[in-house]
Amino acid sequence: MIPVRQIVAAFAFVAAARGATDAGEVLTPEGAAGEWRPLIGALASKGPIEATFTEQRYFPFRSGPMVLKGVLRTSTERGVSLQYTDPEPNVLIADAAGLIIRNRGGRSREISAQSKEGGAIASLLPIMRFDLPALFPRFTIRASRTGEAWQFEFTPRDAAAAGSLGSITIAGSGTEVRHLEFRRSASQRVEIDVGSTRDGAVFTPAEQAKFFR
Amino acid sequence: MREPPRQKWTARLILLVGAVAGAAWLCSLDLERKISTDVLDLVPVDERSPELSMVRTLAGQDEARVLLLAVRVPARPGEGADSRGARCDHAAAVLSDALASAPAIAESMPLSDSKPRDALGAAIFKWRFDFLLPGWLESRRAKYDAGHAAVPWAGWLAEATATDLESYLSKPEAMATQDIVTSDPMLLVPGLVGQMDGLSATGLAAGRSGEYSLVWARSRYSPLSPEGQRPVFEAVDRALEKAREAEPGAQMRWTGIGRFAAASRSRIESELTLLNLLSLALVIAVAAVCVRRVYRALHLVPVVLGSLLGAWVAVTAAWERVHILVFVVGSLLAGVAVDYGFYLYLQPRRRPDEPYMERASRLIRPLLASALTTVIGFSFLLWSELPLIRQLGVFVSAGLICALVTALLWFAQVDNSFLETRAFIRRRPSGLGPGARRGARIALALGALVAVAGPWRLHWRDDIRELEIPTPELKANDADVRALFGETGASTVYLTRGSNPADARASLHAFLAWLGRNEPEARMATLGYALPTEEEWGKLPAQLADLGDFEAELRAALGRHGFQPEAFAPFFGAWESELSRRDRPTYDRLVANLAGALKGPLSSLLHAGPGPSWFVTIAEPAPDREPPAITHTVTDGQLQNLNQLFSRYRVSALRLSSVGLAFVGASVFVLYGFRRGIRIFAIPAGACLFAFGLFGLAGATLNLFNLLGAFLGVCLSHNYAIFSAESARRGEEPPPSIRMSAVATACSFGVLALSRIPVVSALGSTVAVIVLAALAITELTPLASGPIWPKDSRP
Repeated sequence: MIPVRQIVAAFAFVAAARGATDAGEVLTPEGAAGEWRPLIGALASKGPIEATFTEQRYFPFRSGPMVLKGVLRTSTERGVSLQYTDPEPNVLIADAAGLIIRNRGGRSREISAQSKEGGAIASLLPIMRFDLPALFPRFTIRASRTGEAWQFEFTPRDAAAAGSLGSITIAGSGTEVRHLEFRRSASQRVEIDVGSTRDGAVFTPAEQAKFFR
Repeated sequence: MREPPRQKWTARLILLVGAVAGAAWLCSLDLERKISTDVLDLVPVDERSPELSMVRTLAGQDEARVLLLAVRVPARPGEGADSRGARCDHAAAVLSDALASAPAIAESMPLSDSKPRDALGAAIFKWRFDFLLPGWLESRRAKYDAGHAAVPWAGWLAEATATDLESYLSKPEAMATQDIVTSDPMLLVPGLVGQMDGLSATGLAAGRSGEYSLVWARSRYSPLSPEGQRPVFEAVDRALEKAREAEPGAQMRWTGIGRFAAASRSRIESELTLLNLLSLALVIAVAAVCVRRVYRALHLVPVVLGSLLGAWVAVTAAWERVHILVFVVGSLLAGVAVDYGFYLYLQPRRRPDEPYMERASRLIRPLLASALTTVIGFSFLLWSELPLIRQLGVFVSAGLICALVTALLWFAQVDNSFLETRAFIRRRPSGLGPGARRGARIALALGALVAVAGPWRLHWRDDIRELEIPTPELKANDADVRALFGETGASTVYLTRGSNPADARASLHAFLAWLGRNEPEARMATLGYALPTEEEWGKLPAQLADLGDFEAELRAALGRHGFQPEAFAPFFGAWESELSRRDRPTYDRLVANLAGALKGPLSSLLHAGPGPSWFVTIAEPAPDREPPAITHTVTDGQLQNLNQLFSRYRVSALRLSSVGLAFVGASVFVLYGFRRGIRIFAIPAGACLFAFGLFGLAGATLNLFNLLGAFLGVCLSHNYAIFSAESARRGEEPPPSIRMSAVATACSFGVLALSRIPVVSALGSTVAVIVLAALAITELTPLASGPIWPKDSRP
């Protein structure tokens, strides 16, 4: 179904980076071993975190963005979880097996990582984990840095995927991720600002069950 | 003793004419077409059970022709999952292309092919106002009426639409549908997608499962026909070769109804041969053990052959198609038909020069009594609803008559038509003391206890699948492949039917309401969500006319909720066209539009006839109980076992058997008077109750075929009671033919009990137990009541 495909493709939070003014350096599998190695290594080796976030969704038919708030959790074993708390409780989980959307009542909808749609979504996980070997075949990766601040932009190599997913940008400072952007066009994008972050978070079994697969 | 030549030649001529005519008839038949292995041929063509008519239609429709194939390739050293997956997809594509080019295959596509889903999505989006607007308006109108809102309907609806749209945009799935929201601010299509979430778990949306890439195909011909089996298997084999040429080492698993049908036919055919030969061999062995000159027992073979020939001719002449199971069960005739041979052949002459006609006339009364009462009993099965039972009734009745006629004629043309039995088979323990009498009484009392107490512990259950030989390896493969396609035990598949699309949709409405009440947490998926009911469709023009200035109200409401109303121009354009539309399709046309958009795997979700139609619903979890009859909905499990239907047949067969037995009993009372009639009838009735008691105490679950077996067993053991009574009337010991007959029958049915077809085994074991029990009662009763035959009367 067309809507299904569009829906699941956009589960990947198709959005846009804030106009990538500085294209930055294009990383290659060989180049990634250079000056970026320490930063990438530090980001990739970060353990579980828990952070608040504010998400702004821009639609071409709305005057202003939709603002959503929630808690971001990453787990080395269990993937990434976005717990939306406002305006409507929802949980979005991306892990190796695919994507799960869990609503307020705990009801889950799953999309397999091996499906066409789920395959695109599955790329989110290596991005959040800075698993560059897994990302190079799928994305052109640009990196730029100004002092402590850094930014990576991921553009799908496949034209169709680039058209539907757009580009994904992750920006931060030091070893902290501060901002994520999913940009499809200037009027269609999602910006996520990461707030206070707790490194080395330990998730209780109840939290694991609630916020991960 | 030499028989008159005229008698001998007359008998030979009749036998020869009968044999030639019968053989010529059978040779003229196309047995491939005449003999069916389709279990649906076991039930009536005009069966009124809707679940069966649905199964019939399903079997004849595209759904039954579906082949599910899963392909994988071995991993190369150091190869990543993506690369391996791509090669797997390539192998699946090659396999699918090769299948599609085979004449036996009508259609084939990798499941990753999104064209069917795209086509359905495009159709639903194109006709969203037809498919989805009537139900959407109906549900909102109900809310409006329930809330007793003070604002006018159009204004209320516009505000609710804008509120819902704003709320929707905060959901994760909103990012995907933003491209169509400006054409669909009512969220008709996203709402449908949300309702169909259960479908995504069925595997229909995925092209891969684990290491496998999935291929869906449909054969051109019915899998129950020869054209839908071997040519399909060969096409699959050739396609796999092609896939292996493209991706060496590619492995495949696949399933389809044709595999089961072919395996079933092959197994039943081999079983038919084996059971018949074994049964015949055992009967001859019994004769060989019990008679003095073994080679003379060969005179019994023509009786059995004549019986089988007559039964085959009668049943094939009476029906266009006869199920192979009739012939499998019919192999029991060897053990029954030989009875008449025993009775005639083993009956001693009264004097050395007693002619055959005189001896036969002495036996004709019990012979006719036993044969005709059995035939009368089985004739009642002709009123059964089940073709299988009717066919069995004709098979057994015709076989018994032919056995009797053949026996009478065969021994009429033999000069020495007496076969002497060995001494042990004639020996009677009449000289034993009170200990033996006590033992016999205890045995009879124990038997009576079993007969009284056991039947109450019986359980009954029928399953159409027990009519076939189980194929566990194929079933396991089928379950594995279907699991790869997302069909797991966690979800339940329902089929909601109707006599036309409108009826089916109305029933679905009732079913979904029932499901919602009984399992509120169920995830449901059905294409019925994409169709209004006929009532909703009929009300649409009035609903639209009632909306007044909805367009202006919606523009204002969108602006109030932070939207740019002008961005929704695609919707307002379509809305104006809808309001001015005059040529709405009929309801049947509407359903046909949706059905026409279903391609490939999706075509199984809806069957829109001009006539009977149904919707598939997948629910997870599902209520424990079956949907009520008013919903006209059954689970696929119900369709697989047809338990309810066969339970009804069992009740029907019980009624007919009871009437048949009543006639058998009545004929005995007429022939032998009340007192002797009671004694005669008590033996088969007691044996039958004992058998059911034994099964009950053993915890067995019985089915329709146990009941039929009991009926047959009662009729057979009834013969022994008649011959015993006849002998007693003449002051003679029961003839040894009763023992030989009972043992031969028990052996013959004991062979059936070994059958891998559960119902055949049930029938065989039931008859064997009843016959042996009747023999035991016949033997023990005289012992328990003291010797009644003088010792010097034994032959």
